[in-house]
Amino acid sequence: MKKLLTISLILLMILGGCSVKSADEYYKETESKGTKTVTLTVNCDTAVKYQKGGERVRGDILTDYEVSIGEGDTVFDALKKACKKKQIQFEYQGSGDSLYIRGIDYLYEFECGDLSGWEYCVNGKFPDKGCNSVTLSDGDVVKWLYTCDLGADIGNKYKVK
Amino acid sequence: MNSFKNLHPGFVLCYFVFVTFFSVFSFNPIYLVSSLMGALLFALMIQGVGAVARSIGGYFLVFFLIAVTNPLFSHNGRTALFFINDNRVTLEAFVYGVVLGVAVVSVLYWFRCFNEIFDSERYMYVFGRISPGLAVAVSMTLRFVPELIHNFRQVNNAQKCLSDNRCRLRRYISSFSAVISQSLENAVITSDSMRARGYSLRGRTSYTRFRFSRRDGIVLGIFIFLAALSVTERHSFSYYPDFVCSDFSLLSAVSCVSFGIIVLLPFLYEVREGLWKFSASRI
Repeated sequence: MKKLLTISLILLMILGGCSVKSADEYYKETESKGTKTVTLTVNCDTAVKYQKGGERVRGDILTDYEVSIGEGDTVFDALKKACKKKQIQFEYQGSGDSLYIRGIDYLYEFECGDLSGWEYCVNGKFPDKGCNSVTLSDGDVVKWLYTCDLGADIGNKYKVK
Repeated sequence: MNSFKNLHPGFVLCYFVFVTFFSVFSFNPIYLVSSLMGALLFALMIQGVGAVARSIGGYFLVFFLIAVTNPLFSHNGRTALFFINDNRVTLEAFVYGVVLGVAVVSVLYWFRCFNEIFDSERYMYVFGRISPGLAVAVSMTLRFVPELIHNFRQVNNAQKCLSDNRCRLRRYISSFSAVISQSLENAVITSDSMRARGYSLRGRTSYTRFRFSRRDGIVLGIFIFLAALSVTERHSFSYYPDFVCSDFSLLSAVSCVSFGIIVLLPFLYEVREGLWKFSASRI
């Protein structure tokens, strides 16, 4: 009895930190209008080239999509809002500064070789930080690009420091 | 009800290695369900209904945990059931979890049968010639845990009978330390006594009961033929982001059927032996 109580308490605590919504509910939710607008592009032309003849024929998942964000919103928040609006699948793991995007639109890291995955740039620069620790300002241009070569094919060659 | 055991240990080992590897790496519901059925039937045959029925609860727990946790950690898949903190929980991930669970449970059952059949004598026979040291180490390791549990029960019962009023945890700790030192000593004694008898000396022969007979040759031939058929064209199945099932061709159907027969091989062999014994008893 004691054991059961503790187990259910722990479960409650874990579930208390989660918000569970049905798919319809999640996508129909209206976000409050933010004060800033950023432009978001999500592109995986490199993956289309890599998987020549694969199922994916178009690399432009999102092109110059305008997202309205609030004060203190990060690159991750912008992506999350855009994906919610356009009903695009994405998966992340972790939280806070170490949050990491594993896949967008069913395209995951490592699907195009060991050096592949999603990277992002803000106004043409690739910040060497997690996407949840870079806050955006009005008019920023955010690009999520898929690389098959650790950034070398999208203009962010990896340098050893 | 255990004539499969009497086949040559080398063949038995090959059989189990093939079946478990195929089950783990196929990720195809057709192969997996037949593998699970075969393993269950085999376990029923050698251990009886009671032992298998008692084990099912634990295995179901393993299956359930895998089936439920996979969708919580993998969010790939086209059909979203619901969302937890912006991560979708999908039907595809759930089905993949179920398939993974079936794979794990079927492999566990295969190992259960393997442990029942492949005793330390057979281990020594198969591995002893490759590396005698390894064979002793493996057979001692496999024996270690069951022996430890057995000794622990004995020591613990003895302690209880000594009108021991300590709390249960204290008694467990002292019994446990006694059992550990006992088993360490046993390990040293075993290796010493093996050395004293000249184990692993060069040119030393040993007696074994196992001979590769014509019967083994026939079963091995059938097994290799079926195994070759089942790996020629494997029917593939993928889960992310949608379920994709490759088209059935004649070859892939043959592959499925031959894997089904491989899985039933112990059962079929048992039936054959049974028929033979029945006809022999009528003479």
